[in-house]
Amino acid sequence: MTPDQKLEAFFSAATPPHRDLVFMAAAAQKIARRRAVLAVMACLPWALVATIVLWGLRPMVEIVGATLGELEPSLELVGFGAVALGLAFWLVRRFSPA
Amino acid sequence: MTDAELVAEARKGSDAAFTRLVERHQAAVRGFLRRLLGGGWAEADDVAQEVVLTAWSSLHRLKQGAGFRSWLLGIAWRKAQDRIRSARRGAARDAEWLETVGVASNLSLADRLALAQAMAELTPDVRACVALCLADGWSHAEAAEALSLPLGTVKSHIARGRTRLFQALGGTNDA
Repeated sequence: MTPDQKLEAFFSAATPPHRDLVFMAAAAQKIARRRAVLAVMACLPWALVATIVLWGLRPMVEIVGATLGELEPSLELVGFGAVALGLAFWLVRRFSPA
Repeated sequence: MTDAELVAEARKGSDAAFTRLVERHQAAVRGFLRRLLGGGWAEADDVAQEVVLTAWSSLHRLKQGAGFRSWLLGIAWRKAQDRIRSARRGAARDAEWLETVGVASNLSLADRLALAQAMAELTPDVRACVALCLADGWSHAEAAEALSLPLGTVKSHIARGRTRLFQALGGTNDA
């Protein structure tokens, strides 16, 4: 063997296959994990804004609550129902294939 | 589809396009890291996955889609430098390089060990140039772009690396 051929043989030992599903799956998994973290991080500012808005509206809610005291259980039910429905719609759209 | 077209699609949010890009260039990245880092496939693949992740999150910074391969290898080079600096160093790394060197067909054990020893003794810059140009057949200009090194430096690194490897085989560099 010539030195060039020896070098070629040496380097070819460290040549990965052109297709490697295991590597591709591992890389895709890391990307999916990063995307999930980013999705949660993207929600944090909205959660913060919602908290501040609700905190600001607290006196108004107390006044409305005192006025509509008798309707409170029904309103709670309607409120939770609306939130659950909205969340369900959002999740369905979020995880549907584009 | 060309790299530029796939990059454009990936920038629009196409996971399939990005996967196609990774599939197309994973062998180059992993081979480069394997030769540069020594160690086993596990370490090279670990860094390669970080490279893919970084590429995915910073694809918007790539100016020309056609240069995706060089850009990706540039990321791999920087990640490898970080790994070399932060992880095992010096003698320990070199020893591992020798222990885990792949089995090359048609190459005697003595030659294989001599070449592995010579690779381990090269500086990371020289080793990177050797890995790209001598092992993968990149042009000097492509290597210079990927490694962010001046063209003259790449040429001298390759000449130095080639001479050292040929010396390890008991010959002289007559190229």
